[in-house]
Amino acid sequence: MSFLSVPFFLLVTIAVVAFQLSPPRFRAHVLLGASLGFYASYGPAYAVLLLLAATLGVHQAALAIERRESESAKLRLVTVSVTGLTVLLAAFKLASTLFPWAAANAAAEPGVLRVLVPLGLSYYLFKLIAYLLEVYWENLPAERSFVALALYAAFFPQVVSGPIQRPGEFFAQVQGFQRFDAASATQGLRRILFGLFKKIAIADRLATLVNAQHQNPGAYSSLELLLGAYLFALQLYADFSGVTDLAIGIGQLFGVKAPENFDLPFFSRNLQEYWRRWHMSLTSWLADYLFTPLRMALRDYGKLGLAFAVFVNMVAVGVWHGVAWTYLAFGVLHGVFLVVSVLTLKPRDAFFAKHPLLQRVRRVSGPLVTFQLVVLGLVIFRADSLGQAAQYLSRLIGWAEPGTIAATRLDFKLLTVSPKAIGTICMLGALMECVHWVQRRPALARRFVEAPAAYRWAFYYGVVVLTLAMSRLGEGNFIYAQF
Amino acid sequence: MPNSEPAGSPPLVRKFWLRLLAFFALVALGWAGLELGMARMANSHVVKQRRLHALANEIDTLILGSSETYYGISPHELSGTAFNLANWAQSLYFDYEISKRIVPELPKLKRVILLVNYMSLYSELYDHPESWRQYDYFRDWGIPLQRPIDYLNLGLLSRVALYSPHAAIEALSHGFRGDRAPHIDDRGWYRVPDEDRWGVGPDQAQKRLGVHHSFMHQRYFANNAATLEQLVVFLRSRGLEVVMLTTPVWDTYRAAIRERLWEPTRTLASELARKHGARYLNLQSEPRLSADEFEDPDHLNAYGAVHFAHILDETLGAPALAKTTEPSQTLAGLGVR
Repeated sequence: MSFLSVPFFLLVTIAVVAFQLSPPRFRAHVLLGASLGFYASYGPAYAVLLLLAATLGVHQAALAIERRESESAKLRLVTVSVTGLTVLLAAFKLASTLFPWAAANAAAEPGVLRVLVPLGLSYYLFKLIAYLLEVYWENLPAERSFVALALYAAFFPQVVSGPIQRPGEFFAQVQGFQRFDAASATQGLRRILFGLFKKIAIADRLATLVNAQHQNPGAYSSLELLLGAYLFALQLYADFSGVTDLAIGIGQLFGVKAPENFDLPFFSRNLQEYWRRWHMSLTSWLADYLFTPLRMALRDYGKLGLAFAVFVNMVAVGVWHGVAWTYLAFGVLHGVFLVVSVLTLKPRDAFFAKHPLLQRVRRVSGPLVTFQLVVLGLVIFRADSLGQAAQYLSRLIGWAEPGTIAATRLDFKLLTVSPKAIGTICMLGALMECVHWVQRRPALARRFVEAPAAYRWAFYYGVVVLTLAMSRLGEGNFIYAQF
Repeated sequence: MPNSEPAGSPPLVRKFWLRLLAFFALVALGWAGLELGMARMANSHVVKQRRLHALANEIDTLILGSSETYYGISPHELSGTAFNLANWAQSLYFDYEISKRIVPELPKLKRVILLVNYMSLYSELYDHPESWRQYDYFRDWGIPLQRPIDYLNLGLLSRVALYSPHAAIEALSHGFRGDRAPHIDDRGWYRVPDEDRWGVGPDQAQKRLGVHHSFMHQRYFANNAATLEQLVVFLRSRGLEVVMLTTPVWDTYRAAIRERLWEPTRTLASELARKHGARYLNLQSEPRLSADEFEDPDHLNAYGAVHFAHILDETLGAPALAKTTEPSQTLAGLGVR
């Protein structure tokens, strides 16, 4: 059951009605039922059992950690539990990489063992790890209710593509499942509408062009590949932030406020800032549970320790997406970028402080340079193999065999899209960023909410028509659902 | 003016639900308008039905199957009056159901050409990237869906959902004029536009086969084999000549197909032909066709379709009523379960 299917929206409607009609003390049960039903429809049956087994194990482990008096016993328990969850995640990711024939579709081969990574495994295991560490650090009491913990792990709007919500924040909201909050639900519906717009009108429309280019870069010129690289960044952003909007919006229908995942990342002035504004729930998770402990452990090593912690953190960001050379290379590349950036930040700041004119240039060029570096990383991220990434990048800078395709060719028929369509999508992308910009400014957002209903409704209907007009056949998939 | 009532108070909740209903009522109204418009536009099935009925008293050869025969056989080059009733992703189940409905209405019918290609026995439309097409068969031919679960799809009730709201809004911008089936001629043949050339290189062949293998499954073989036999028996019982045909593919595609999947299909078609007095023509490797006559590694283009129809006509000769066989024979004797 995809997020973009009629059955999914029926499930949401039924869950909202059942949630509102049920007594407050059973509302978590209703949501857990809906979540498990949704998750069961998404993949193999063992995925649900795995989720429940992992949650049960973590539930018991957290209670045991809380009960233990001795610090070493607590440490032993948390180490074993976190290692177990990490090994589970790595085993599935490795299985799908080492045995791709088993992970792929059965392809008419009788008797082929199929090992599929359960969807959203990385998301819910990271949530459970966060919960265990918070209990171990005594920031959070162990949750007595298995239902609350299972709902935290499996909450259906978040289970497939995040955001990765923190346990304390979630449990506090589960306690407040007392009444239906019309204001929160209205905000939620707005987010859902905007999420659908981003996914359907922008991301899915770009998918055809981007897929063709990244799968067969040898057939395209430098200019076409450059266009494909930029448009993939837009596609990924619209796709992932679209599903985040859906997750946040659907959560708000039940009064659950989830963390934001994006804050205008393509306007970041440098890469450190970019990683604070892109997939924020993952990067802040890694910052709290990997980077900070590592940094503390290596604090005696000064800048070298900092560089190592930054590098490990970025490699973790890369391999979180899957065990593949391309993801590793993506993480290593960003690790190197960030290490250089972090280590040279102070001298650079000092230099620019002495040259006000250059400082102004830096302010303008910073986001542009950062965006180029991000796009470069995404070419590797998107490639099926390092060889394909190398081919894409070498053709991109014109290292093609002499006498083949002119580097400046721009054949829109080959790109399976018209200049008009690209222009329209880019305009919609600009509209998306305008809405994001307004959302980040409470005063402007409030003005919109308090505007006469006729204006708001006209805007909503405009978005509905634009979304429908741009929609393509078939159910879409979310790029970040595969992680 | 800011509302002083708490967000969860009953009047605000009631207002929320009422506004939500009003909002969706307007969306539903617009959707209904699009539905009415889309209902006026004919798809490939309706266009073919109209053209088939116009020629019902003349047709002596009927061509069934999926895009390979739909694109790849120009009926104009066949002797007599041939009609191409193949369609995109049309599986054996739909070939059989359409035959049951159409064959009795064609008094001069003498020959039916059935497609038996690499995918035919291993695929079902409901488990195919173009599974939405099954709803066209349900709506336009009255053919029941194969799985009860598929009756839950919105596409069953809504053309806008089936063809995409984008297509509906685009049709609206043209005033819902014309039909949704361009390039279909008066004999039901889809003349592939000249600009549709995807290449026949090894990469293209691998890509095509990758897609094909993704929906080919061993589990469908037995049922499709039974359906094919039922279809042959049904047609032979009406005294019709049955030609099971494997259409040409380009060398790059043929070199990459999996023999262990292809061999059982060939064996079955040969056995059925022998058992029921039908013909099996395997023209997968047809040396008289050149790469220029292919749209992609497994589809002929319009020029190839004309050339291939000449070759086919030469091989088959003019259609003539064939001797009937007992319709009660089954696959049991062939060891197919």
